Amino acid sequence: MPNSATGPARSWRHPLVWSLGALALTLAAALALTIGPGKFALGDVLELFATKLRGGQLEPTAEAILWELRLPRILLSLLVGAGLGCAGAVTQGLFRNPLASPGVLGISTGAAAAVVLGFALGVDEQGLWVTPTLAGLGALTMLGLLFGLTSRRQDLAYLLLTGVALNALAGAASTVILALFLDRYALAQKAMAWMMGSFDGRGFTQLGWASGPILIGMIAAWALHRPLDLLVLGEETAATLGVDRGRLRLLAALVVGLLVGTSTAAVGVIGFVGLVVPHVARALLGVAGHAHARLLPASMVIGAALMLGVDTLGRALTPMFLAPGALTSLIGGLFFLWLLRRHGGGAS
Amino acid sequence: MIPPASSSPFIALSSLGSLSSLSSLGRLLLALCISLTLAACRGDAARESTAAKGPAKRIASRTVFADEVLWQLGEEVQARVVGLSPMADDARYSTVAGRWPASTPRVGQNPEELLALAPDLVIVASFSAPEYRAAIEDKVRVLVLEDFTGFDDYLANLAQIGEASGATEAAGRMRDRFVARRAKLEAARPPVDQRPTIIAWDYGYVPGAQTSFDDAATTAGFVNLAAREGLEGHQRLDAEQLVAWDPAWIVVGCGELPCAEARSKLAAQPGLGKLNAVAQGQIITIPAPYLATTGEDMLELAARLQAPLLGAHAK
Repeated sequence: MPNSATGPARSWRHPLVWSLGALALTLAAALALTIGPGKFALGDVLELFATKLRGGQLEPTAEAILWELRLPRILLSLLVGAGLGCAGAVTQGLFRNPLASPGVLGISTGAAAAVVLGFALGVDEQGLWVTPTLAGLGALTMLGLLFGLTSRRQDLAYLLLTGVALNALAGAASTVILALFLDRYALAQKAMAWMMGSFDGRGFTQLGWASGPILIGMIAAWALHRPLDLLVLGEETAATLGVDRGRLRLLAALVVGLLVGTSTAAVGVIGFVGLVVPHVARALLGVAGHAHARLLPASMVIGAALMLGVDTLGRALTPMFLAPGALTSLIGGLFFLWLLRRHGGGAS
Repeated sequence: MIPPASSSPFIALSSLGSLSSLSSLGRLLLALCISLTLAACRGDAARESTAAKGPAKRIASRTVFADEVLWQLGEEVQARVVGLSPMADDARYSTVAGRWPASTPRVGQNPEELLALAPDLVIVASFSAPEYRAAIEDKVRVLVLEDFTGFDDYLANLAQIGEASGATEAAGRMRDRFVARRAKLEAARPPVDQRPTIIAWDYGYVPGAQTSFDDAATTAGFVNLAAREGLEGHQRLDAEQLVAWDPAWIVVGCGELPCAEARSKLAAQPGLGKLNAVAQGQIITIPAPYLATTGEDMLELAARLQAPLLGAHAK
């Protein structure tokens, strides 16, 4: 097993690095509060929040924009970014494949299929809670199918292939539903908006119910860091070192399902974060692929920063609408190409 | 995501093909919107695939707009209609839903279905699927209606349909009726400096300039805030931006939800409950087809917008 305490990784042991990272993220989030519709300086924002926390009354527009919309939206973007980054690191560790992403298990596609079905049946109109609930049910159904279909075999390749097949099936289900209702403009509009992801209009309610599952998922992911480290050495070696492969596979898939399913339910489909963020963590911060104790938190922080940046950029461009899912794919794709080129250049 | 040249939120999605993943589905939806935008930018005037050969005897409609106009042209024209768009009976989109007899076929996505009806005139929109149009254009006379951006396009499209269907007199009467009702509504609206702002909010999308809503709101006596702020066509709008703009009135569609529930659903959304329009009860609920129509009932929309405005003005 490589020595993870050597080289750049050593600096990660110093709590100062984490403290600075957390401080930078907090400052960025505070600055993000000033960006978007309405003119609010940082001082105004802080004063407004202080007034709110003291139980005072705010001017209705400022309260609606800053307190009811922007603050929960920023917190949700941090949470979702951290969750998706973490899910990516777990997936790549589980499959020992840097090209694996949470999407290969079909969780977000299953959530999308359930939501599109809800749109087609018009049940989403029954309340704001319906679409996230449907997405959660879709994600859980996919997870259940994944476990049900792979319960008799323990190898990861079988899990991966089953995930790919379920992903394709769920994608096809969405396509069939849309094809059956081709003439319903509102359905296509809603489906497209949801599939591009959005933090727009999410309030404390959405933040409240997404926080628990994502935080639990991230803690559970961190708890898996040792078996994931050992898995890097190979499945058989890991087994001889005491890793219960079946249990690890089950827990890791459950964690990924929880993180991706909840994120998708909260904000729609956000692509590429889970694939790119662990690479960014490894490349920029010198975290080794087998050092999950550091890779997982680093992926959470970088995922949160990326999503905060994407959402803030989108808000800065208002009234033009820039879908965060499209932007993450754009940024992620370009970054990934750069990373591959850099990696290739180093190898030659 | 709506083509700027189309004021109505109708897109004929087609050719989804076999897709196997969510990302490809998203790309497909995006590609559809781009192709529809390009299709809508082709030109200004309505076109026909072949030169006019006198009044049509067997007319087929592939747009809900033509379904409405053909019905409103009267019984003589109705008797010559052999096919209607699939949305003719959909009360969420069509203002003539339930009026056409069930015996008149509703034509689906397969061009064979249309050709089997042996029409001699087919009315399609510029955003109708290009493959569909290509499949029928050399076999039947096709009238392509290009733009649906409000009152002027309605009158131009009405004239085209009237001429192609040999009902120019009936179309002229409809035109006169429209012009007279518009003038009456415009005469009743408040003075320019007293016109309040308004926004129509639909699943996070708003109609800006070059839309039927813009014309209807202006005729009713409002200032369409989205258009004033520079938006054109139907655009996605951030909830924060809506709150920052703070329109005096807000319009929501109802149909899938009863109007009262649509109103309370709007007020329940984070941040939107603080809008002045919501706080003062200045929410106008409009049945969905009137918000979607690009036909004569755009003036019904204007009338439904104007009624609460004049009521508030009178207080």
